[in-house]
Amino acid sequence: MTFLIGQKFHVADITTQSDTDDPATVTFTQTTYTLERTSVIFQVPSSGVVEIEIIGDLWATSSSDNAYLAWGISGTDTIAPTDSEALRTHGSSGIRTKISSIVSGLTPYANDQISLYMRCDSGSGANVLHTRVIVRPA
Amino acid sequence: MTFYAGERMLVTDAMTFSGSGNTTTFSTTNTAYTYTGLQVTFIVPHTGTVKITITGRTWSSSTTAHSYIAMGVFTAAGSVWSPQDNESFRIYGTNTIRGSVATILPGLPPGQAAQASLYLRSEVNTATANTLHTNIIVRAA
Repeated sequence: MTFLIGQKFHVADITTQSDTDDPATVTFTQTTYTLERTSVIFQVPSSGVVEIEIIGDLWATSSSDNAYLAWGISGTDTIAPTDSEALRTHGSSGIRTKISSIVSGLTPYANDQISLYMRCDSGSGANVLHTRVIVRPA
Repeated sequence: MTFYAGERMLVTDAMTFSGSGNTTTFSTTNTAYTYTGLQVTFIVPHTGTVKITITGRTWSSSTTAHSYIAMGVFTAAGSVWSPQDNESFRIYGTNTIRGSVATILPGLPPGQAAQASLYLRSEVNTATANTLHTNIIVRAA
Protein backbone atom coordinates (compact mmCIF):
# COMPACT_ATOMS: atom_id res chain seq x y z
CA MET A 1 0.00 0.00 0.00
CA THR A 2 1.10 3.58 -0.61
CA PHE A 3 0.91 6.34 1.99
CA LEU A 4 1.38 10.02 1.26
CA ILE A 5 2.85 12.44 3.75
CA GLY A 6 0.07 13.67 6.01
CA GLN A 7 -2.44 11.16 4.70
CA LYS A 8 -4.81 9.77 7.30
CA PHE A 9 -5.11 6.04 7.65
CA HIS A 10 -6.87 3.44 9.73
CA VAL A 11 -5.05 2.07 12.75
CA ALA A 12 -5.48 -1.49 11.53
CA ASP A 13 -4.00 -0.72 8.14
CA ILE A 14 -0.45 -0.33 9.37
CA THR A 15 -0.21 -3.07 11.94
CA THR A 16 2.07 -6.06 11.53
CA GLN A 17 1.46 -9.01 13.83
CA SER A 18 3.87 -11.87 14.38
CA ASP A 19 4.84 -14.57 16.80
CA THR A 20 7.37 -17.35 17.18
CA ASP A 21 7.07 -20.76 18.86
CA ASP A 22 8.14 -24.42 18.84
CA PRO A 23 11.57 -24.25 20.45
CA ALA A 24 11.52 -28.08 20.46
CA THR A 25 10.46 -30.50 17.73
CA VAL A 26 6.76 -31.37 17.47
CA THR A 27 5.72 -34.52 15.54
CA PHE A 28 2.38 -35.37 13.89
CA THR A 29 1.44 -38.75 12.40
CA GLN A 30 -2.02 -37.73 11.18
CA THR A 31 -2.72 -37.68 7.44
CA THR A 32 -5.37 -34.98 7.81
CA TYR A 33 -4.56 -31.48 8.96
CA THR A 34 -4.24 -31.39 12.75
CA LEU A 35 -3.89 -28.28 14.92
CA GLU A 36 -0.25 -27.59 15.64
CA ARG A 37 -0.76 -24.37 17.57
CA THR A 38 -2.87 -21.25 17.69
CA SER A 39 -1.03 -18.15 16.66
CA VAL A 40 -1.58 -14.43 16.19
CA ILE A 41 -4.89 -12.62 16.58
CA PHE A 42 -5.10 -9.73 14.14
CA GLN A 43 -7.54 -7.05 13.09
CA VAL A 44 -8.44 -7.26 9.41
CA PRO A 45 -7.49 -4.04 7.58
CA SER A 46 -10.06 -1.97 5.75
CA SER A 47 -9.06 -3.60 2.46
CA GLY A 48 -10.05 -7.04 3.72
CA VAL A 49 -6.74 -8.30 2.33
CA VAL A 50 -3.72 -9.57 4.27
CA GLU A 51 -0.43 -11.21 3.48
CA ILE A 52 0.30 -14.26 5.63
CA GLU A 53 3.78 -15.70 5.93
CA ILE A 54 4.54 -18.93 7.72
CA ILE A 55 8.07 -20.11 8.46
CA GLY A 56 9.15 -23.47 9.78
CA ASP A 57 11.89 -26.04 10.03
CA LEU A 58 10.16 -29.04 8.45
CA TRP A 59 10.91 -32.70 7.65
CA ALA A 60 9.21 -36.10 7.41
CA THR A 61 10.26 -39.03 9.57
CA SER A 62 10.44 -41.33 6.53
CA SER A 63 12.51 -40.74 3.41
CA SER A 64 9.42 -41.56 1.34
CA ASP A 65 6.85 -39.43 3.18
CA ASN A 66 5.81 -35.79 2.78
CA ALA A 67 5.44 -33.25 5.59
CA TYR A 68 3.04 -30.30 5.33
CA LEU A 69 2.76 -27.13 7.43
CA ALA A 70 -0.29 -25.01 6.63
CA TRP A 71 -2.25 -22.08 8.07
CA GLY A 72 -5.95 -21.66 8.77
CA ILE A 73 -8.10 -18.72 9.84
CA SER A 74 -10.81 -18.73 12.50
CA GLY A 75 -12.94 -16.10 14.18
CA THR A 76 -15.28 -13.93 12.16
CA ASP A 77 -13.82 -15.49 9.01
CA THR A 78 -13.08 -19.18 8.50
CA ILE A 79 -10.53 -20.62 6.09
CA ALA A 80 -9.36 -24.23 6.37
CA PRO A 81 -5.73 -25.27 5.80
CA THR A 82 -4.97 -26.63 2.33
CA ASP A 83 -2.06 -28.33 0.59
CA SER A 84 -2.06 -25.64 -2.07
CA GLU A 85 -1.11 -23.00 0.52
CA ALA A 86 1.15 -25.22 2.63
CA LEU A 87 4.86 -25.36 3.21
CA ARG A 88 5.85 -28.86 2.11
CA THR A 89 8.95 -31.03 1.96
CA HIS A 90 9.59 -34.58 0.80
CA GLY A 91 11.73 -36.98 2.80
CA SER A 92 13.68 -36.78 6.00
CA SER A 93 16.06 -34.01 4.91
CA GLY A 94 15.03 -30.93 6.83
CA ILE A 95 14.50 -27.47 5.49
CA ARG A 96 13.72 -24.15 7.14
CA THR A 97 12.05 -21.68 4.81
CA LYS A 98 8.79 -19.77 4.36
CA ILE A 99 5.80 -19.37 2.11
CA SER A 100 3.58 -16.34 1.57
CA SER A 101 -0.13 -16.20 0.83
CA ILE A 102 -2.38 -13.28 -0.07
CA VAL A 103 -5.84 -13.71 1.45
CA SER A 104 -8.69 -11.48 0.27
CA GLY A 105 -12.34 -11.16 1.13
CA LEU A 106 -11.90 -11.03 4.90
CA THR A 107 -14.33 -8.96 6.95
CA PRO A 108 -12.88 -5.46 7.46
CA TYR A 109 -11.99 -4.69 11.09
CA ALA A 110 -12.93 -8.19 12.28
CA ASN A 111 -10.70 -9.91 14.82
CA ASP A 112 -9.45 -13.13 13.25
CA GLN A 113 -6.92 -15.68 14.39
CA ILE A 114 -4.34 -17.67 12.49
CA SER A 115 -3.48 -21.24 13.48
CA LEU A 116 -0.85 -23.64 12.17
CA TYR A 117 -1.68 -27.20 11.12
CA MET A 118 0.44 -30.23 10.28
CA ARG A 119 -0.02 -33.45 8.36
CA CYS A 120 1.93 -36.14 6.52
CA ASP A 121 0.97 -38.40 3.60
CA SER A 122 1.68 -41.91 4.86
CA GLY A 123 1.73 -41.64 8.64
CA SER A 124 5.46 -41.88 9.31
CA GLY A 125 5.43 -38.49 10.96
CA ALA A 126 5.71 -34.83 10.05
CA ASN A 127 8.14 -32.85 12.20
CA VAL A 128 8.33 -29.11 12.79
CA LEU A 129 10.59 -26.74 14.70
CA HIS A 130 11.10 -22.97 15.05
CA THR A 131 7.83 -21.80 13.50
CA ARG A 132 6.81 -18.20 12.88
CA VAL A 133 3.67 -16.46 11.64
CA ILE A 134 3.66 -12.92 10.22
CA VAL A 135 0.50 -11.07 9.17
CA ARG A 136 0.59 -7.76 7.33
CA PRO A 137 -2.10 -5.68 5.64
CA ALA A 138 -2.05 -5.92 1.85
CA MET B 1 3.78 -0.66 17.34
CA THR B 2 1.09 1.85 18.19
CA PHE B 3 -0.32 4.33 15.70
CA TYR B 4 -3.21 6.64 16.31
CA ALA B 5 -5.90 7.44 13.78
CA GLY B 6 -4.94 10.56 11.88
CA GLU B 7 -1.31 10.41 12.93
CA ARG B 8 1.04 11.61 10.24
CA MET B 9 3.39 9.05 8.84
CA LEU B 10 7.11 9.72 8.49
CA VAL B 11 8.53 9.29 5.03
CA THR B 12 11.07 6.72 6.19
CA ASP B 13 8.29 4.53 7.62
CA ALA B 14 7.01 3.68 4.17
CA MET B 15 10.39 2.89 2.65
CA THR B 16 11.76 -0.46 1.60
CA PHE B 17 15.46 -1.19 1.35
CA SER B 18 16.98 -4.11 -0.50
CA GLY B 19 20.17 -5.46 -1.99
CA SER B 20 21.38 -8.52 -3.89
CA GLY B 21 24.63 -10.44 -3.79
CA ASN B 22 26.46 -13.67 -4.54
CA THR B 23 26.18 -13.80 -8.32
CA THR B 24 28.89 -16.44 -8.07
CA THR B 25 28.87 -19.17 -5.44
CA PHE B 26 30.12 -18.21 -1.99
CA SER B 27 31.37 -21.19 0.01
CA THR B 28 32.69 -21.83 3.48
CA THR B 29 33.61 -24.75 5.71
CA ASN B 30 33.38 -22.57 8.82
CA THR B 31 30.95 -23.85 11.43
CA ALA B 32 30.64 -20.28 12.77
CA TYR B 33 28.62 -17.78 10.77
CA THR B 34 30.79 -16.15 8.10
CA TYR B 35 30.04 -12.86 6.32
CA THR B 36 29.06 -13.42 2.67
CA GLY B 37 29.73 -9.88 1.44
CA LEU B 38 26.06 -8.86 1.14
CA GLN B 39 25.01 -5.92 3.27
CA VAL B 40 22.04 -3.52 3.09
CA THR B 41 22.04 -0.14 4.81
CA PHE B 42 18.65 1.13 5.96
CA ILE B 43 17.10 3.91 8.06
CA VAL B 44 15.27 2.64 11.13
CA PRO B 45 11.61 3.80 11.13
CA HIS B 46 10.29 5.74 14.10
CA THR B 47 8.65 2.57 15.43
CA GLY B 48 12.10 1.04 15.86
CA THR B 49 10.79 -2.16 14.27
CA VAL B 50 11.66 -3.65 10.90
CA LYS B 51 10.87 -6.79 8.99
CA ILE B 52 13.96 -8.32 7.41
CA THR B 53 13.57 -10.99 4.71
CA ILE B 54 16.56 -12.99 3.49
CA THR B 55 16.45 -15.08 0.33
CA GLY B 56 19.05 -17.32 -1.24
CA ARG B 57 19.98 -20.54 -2.90
CA THR B 58 21.92 -22.86 -0.62
CA TRP B 59 23.24 -26.42 -0.38
CA SER B 60 25.84 -28.51 1.40
CA SER B 61 28.63 -30.53 -0.19
CA SER B 62 27.71 -33.41 2.14
CA THR B 63 24.56 -35.52 2.03
CA THR B 64 24.60 -35.60 5.84
CA ALA B 65 25.21 -31.94 6.74
CA HIS B 66 23.21 -28.73 6.97
CA SER B 67 23.90 -25.40 5.29
CA TYR B 68 22.57 -22.27 7.03
CA ILE B 69 21.98 -18.69 5.78
CA ALA B 70 21.20 -16.10 8.47
CA MET B 71 21.35 -12.35 8.98
CA GLY B 72 22.98 -10.01 11.45
CA VAL B 73 22.23 -6.34 12.16
CA PHE B 74 24.61 -3.55 13.14
CA THR B 75 24.13 0.06 14.15
CA ALA B 76 26.69 2.72 14.94
CA ALA B 77 26.72 1.32 18.48
CA GLY B 78 27.76 -2.11 17.24
CA SER B 79 26.04 -5.46 16.76
CA VAL B 80 22.36 -5.53 17.78
CA TRP B 81 21.46 -8.91 16.29
CA SER B 82 23.69 -11.92 15.66
CA PRO B 83 22.97 -14.62 13.06
CA GLN B 84 21.47 -17.73 14.62
CA ASP B 85 20.15 -21.10 13.50
CA ASN B 86 16.60 -20.59 14.73
CA GLU B 87 16.26 -17.51 12.48
CA SER B 88 18.04 -19.07 9.52
CA PHE B 89 17.12 -20.40 6.12
CA ARG B 90 18.58 -23.91 6.06
CA ILE B 91 18.74 -27.06 3.97
CA TYR B 92 20.06 -30.53 4.78
CA GLY B 93 22.13 -32.36 2.16
CA THR B 94 23.35 -31.68 -1.35
CA ASN B 95 20.05 -30.84 -3.00
CA THR B 96 19.95 -27.12 -3.70
CA ILE B 97 17.01 -24.94 -2.92
CA ARG B 98 16.25 -21.23 -3.17
CA GLY B 99 13.95 -19.98 -0.45
CA SER B 100 13.62 -17.35 2.24
CA VAL B 101 12.73 -16.52 5.83
CA ALA B 102 11.68 -13.31 7.57
CA THR B 103 12.37 -11.85 11.00
CA ILE B 104 10.54 -9.08 12.87
CA LEU B 105 13.21 -7.12 14.71
CA PRO B 106 12.10 -4.49 17.28
CA GLY B 107 14.12 -2.17 19.48
CA LEU B 108 16.34 -0.50 16.87
CA PRO B 109 17.27 3.20 17.22
CA PRO B 110 14.66 5.27 15.33
CA GLY B 111 15.99 7.52 12.58
CA GLN B 112 19.48 6.04 12.62
CA ALA B 113 21.23 4.11 9.89
CA ALA B 114 21.67 0.39 10.40
CA GLN B 115 23.11 -2.45 8.35
CA ALA B 116 21.65 -5.90 7.72
CA SER B 117 24.29 -8.41 6.65
CA LEU B 118 24.08 -11.97 5.33
CA TYR B 119 26.05 -14.86 6.81
CA LEU B 120 26.63 -18.51 5.91
CA ARG B 121 27.77 -21.47 7.98
CA SER B 122 28.29 -25.20 7.59
CA GLU B 123 27.17 -27.73 10.16
CA VAL B 124 30.53 -29.53 10.04
CA ASN B 125 33.96 -28.34 8.96
CA THR B 126 34.39 -31.39 6.72
CA ALA B 127 31.61 -30.16 4.42
CA THR B 128 31.21 -26.98 2.41
CA ALA B 129 28.17 -24.74 2.82
CA ASN B 130 27.33 -22.87 -0.38
CA THR B 131 25.13 -19.93 -1.30
CA LEU B 132 24.18 -18.15 -4.52
CA HIS B 133 21.80 -15.42 -5.68
CA THR B 134 21.04 -13.95 -2.30
CA ASN B 135 19.09 -10.86 -1.37
CA ILE B 136 17.94 -8.93 1.68
CA ILE B 137 14.76 -6.86 1.93
CA VAL B 138 14.16 -4.50 4.87
CA ARG B 139 10.74 -2.93 5.46
CA ALA B 140 9.25 -0.81 8.20
CA ALA B 141 6.98 -2.83 10.48
